Amino acid sequence: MKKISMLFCAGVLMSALGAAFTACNNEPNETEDPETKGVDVSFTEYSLEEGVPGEEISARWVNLPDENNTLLVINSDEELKKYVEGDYPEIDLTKHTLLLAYGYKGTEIHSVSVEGLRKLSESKYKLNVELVMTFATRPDAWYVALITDKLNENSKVELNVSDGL
Amino acid sequence: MKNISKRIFALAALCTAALLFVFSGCADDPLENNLENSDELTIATRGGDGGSPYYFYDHEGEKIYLSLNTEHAFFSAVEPRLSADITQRGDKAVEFQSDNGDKKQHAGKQGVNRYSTELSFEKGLSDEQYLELLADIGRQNKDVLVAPYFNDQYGSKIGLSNFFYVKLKDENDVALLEKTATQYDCVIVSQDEFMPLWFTLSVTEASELTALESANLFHESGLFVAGEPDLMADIALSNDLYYAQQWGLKNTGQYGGMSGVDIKAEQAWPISTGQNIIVALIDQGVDLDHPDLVANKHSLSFDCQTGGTALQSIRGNHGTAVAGIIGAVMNNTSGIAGVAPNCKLMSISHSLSSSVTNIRQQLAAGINWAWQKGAHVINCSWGHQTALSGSYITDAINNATTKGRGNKGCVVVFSSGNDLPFTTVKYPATLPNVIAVGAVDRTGTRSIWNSSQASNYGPELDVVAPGTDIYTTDRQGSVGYTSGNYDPSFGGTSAAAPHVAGVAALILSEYPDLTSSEVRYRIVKTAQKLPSYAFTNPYTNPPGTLLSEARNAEVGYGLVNAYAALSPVPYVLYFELINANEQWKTFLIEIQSTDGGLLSYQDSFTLSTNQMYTARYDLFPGNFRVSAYAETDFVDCEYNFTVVKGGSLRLSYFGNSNTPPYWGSPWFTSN
Repeated sequence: MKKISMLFCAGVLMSALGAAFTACNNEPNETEDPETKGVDVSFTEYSLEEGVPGEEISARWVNLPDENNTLLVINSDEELKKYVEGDYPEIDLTKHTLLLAYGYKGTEIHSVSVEGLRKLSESKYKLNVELVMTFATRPDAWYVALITDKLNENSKVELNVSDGL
Repeated sequence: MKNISKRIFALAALCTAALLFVFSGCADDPLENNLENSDELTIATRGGDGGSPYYFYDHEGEKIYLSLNTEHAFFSAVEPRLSADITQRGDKAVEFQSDNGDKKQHAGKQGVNRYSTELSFEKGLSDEQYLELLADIGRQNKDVLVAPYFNDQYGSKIGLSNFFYVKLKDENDVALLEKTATQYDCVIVSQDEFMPLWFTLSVTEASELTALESANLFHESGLFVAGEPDLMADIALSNDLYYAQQWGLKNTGQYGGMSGVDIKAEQAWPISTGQNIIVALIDQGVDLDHPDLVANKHSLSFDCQTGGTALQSIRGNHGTAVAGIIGAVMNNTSGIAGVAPNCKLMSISHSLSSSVTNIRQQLAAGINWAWQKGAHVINCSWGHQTALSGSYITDAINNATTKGRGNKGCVVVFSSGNDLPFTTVKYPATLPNVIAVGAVDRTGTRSIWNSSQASNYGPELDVVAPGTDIYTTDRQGSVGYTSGNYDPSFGGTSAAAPHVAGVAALILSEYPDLTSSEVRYRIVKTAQKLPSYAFTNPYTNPPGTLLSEARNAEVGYGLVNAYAALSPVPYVLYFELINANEQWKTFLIEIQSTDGGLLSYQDSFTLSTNQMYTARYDLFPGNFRVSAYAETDFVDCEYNFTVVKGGSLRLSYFGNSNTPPYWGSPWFTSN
């Protein structure tokens, strides 16, 4: 299964490289095939745990809707305060948008990584998150928070989560 | 001590005036003034914002608040028995006792010796109903002292006796104490031999106040240095720092739990603590230098991914948390207590990561290594329905359960999983020769963490064990789930399985000759039927098999019970059926518990004339019914009997030579 996946990924990579060379270094053009490709959107990962490693977490996410694999688009301090308890690193949400994605698993999560935030069209984005799971039967939660340039109010961000199982 | 509810309102009303009086400092002679104004002396033992009642006592200048525990009450009587009027109102009374062991309790100069006991009431009484109940008992039983029970800030049960303590300001204040005691119908019981300023007093049948209220009255009067009530708490068998948080071992109702929903560890420990038993953990590795684990470190260790045998191969946080539940050292005044605090912990490590290739071979190697190196119990808090299932790991488990322990078999325990929306038990917990364990919370309800995480269940689930908010060991230093050495909120079926592995260790330590299936049998048969669930027995036994136990889909056979699983049962019932008929006959028999369908034996056999069928059945004490049926003659026999310590049961059938055919009177002798 894993070998097949790797071959498949290699094929996709080769195709992507070919496509990149075909584009002759032009700026990505979302009108070409926006639904499948889109363009990368820059972001900064945001953590409530900013501080000395090993210290107790000073803030935590709270009051999140009880839904699995969900993404919240947060555009104001008022909204953010609803979901955070404790002292958290400040964000200028007049200039930025915070994307908060989270979910729950029945087994322990080994690692969480953001595989990319893509702009598919003027108001449509896609966030890819990859989890590496363990088989240890301890319920676990994952959170990903990204700061991006301010998104339009009517922007939709699709969340795609893969856990390899 | 009478008319408690009436007094509540009186005290609340007097509260403000009393406080104003006491702190006004207007009295030149505090004794005379206070005693002359005794009503105003009543102190705010109860009262509160907006009329909400509360209770407190003073501890070094700080008010310690209590809330009512409406499930219990204290009774003190001259004779070591309660009237029918009282016992009929309660569920259960504990054995009478005195403060001095078995000696009679002395209640003061009146020369009245007393006995005390605790009575339990039905759950769910409101504070008002509870207080009215106690007041009514007081009215109807003039010679009995009644006092409410409380919960402390941790939710632990706190009893209140008839005693309280008062410290004098000066040794010449004895007369002041006597006068005050008389004023409030209290008696002085004794003066402390070593600290003569301290006196023990008791309320009496004539007292209007409880010992808590009296202590506060004396304390807040300003006449004495201190007044303290005699509060009673259940004495824990363990002195470990966080033991009171370990609801899974002893649930006192702390933090909103349901008292008694636990694995009965305290009752089990006097019998067994897991001595001489090796519990292997196939997990992410154990921090065996943890101060609460190091004394139980087994000398052998194995790394499934490298084949190495160096100790301390740690590939994650999970294993150390699981290990503490099984075998943390007890009574070292720190940390927690494990279920089997004297077992040895054998660490077999693997990251359990889904990204690791060749994982089936590696986990199978860990299981095989464990039983070959002498493990008695193997705990596996992991699973997956597709990524792991297959014959490779199953073969290793079969090896362990058949070849381990000199062919008696290792006890292999697996967690059932926590996944939603797929609620089914996860492989390998689905295998019939492992013990599949689900999780319950402190109220005895199947653990449900949110809409995506809950304890998995189904027909393969054997038992449940504590799996929510479990206090356990954590890797030391900056690694681990927390920055400290303990995790107060470990959970999941990962936490439930090691409770059962610990119980298996207790059983094997006491009964080393049991096979793995016999250990499983004991754990299943003795599981506690949780009150929130209906347990039914829809199964019929194949002839010759013994086990048929009432179960529930969500919680299996119930909550594991360490104490019952260690009991020297079952008792033996010798069964005989004689065919006094003139023909061959086929008989059907069934022996069933009438205490809730816990047990059902069935058998079918054919007997020639004057032939006897004999069988030996293992029964736990209880009430049973035997049903016998003679085929073709269509004649039934039913007989109820009670097993205390086993016995002999004989049935005789008389057939064609008698008209009509009939059964003789059943003959039962109890041991």
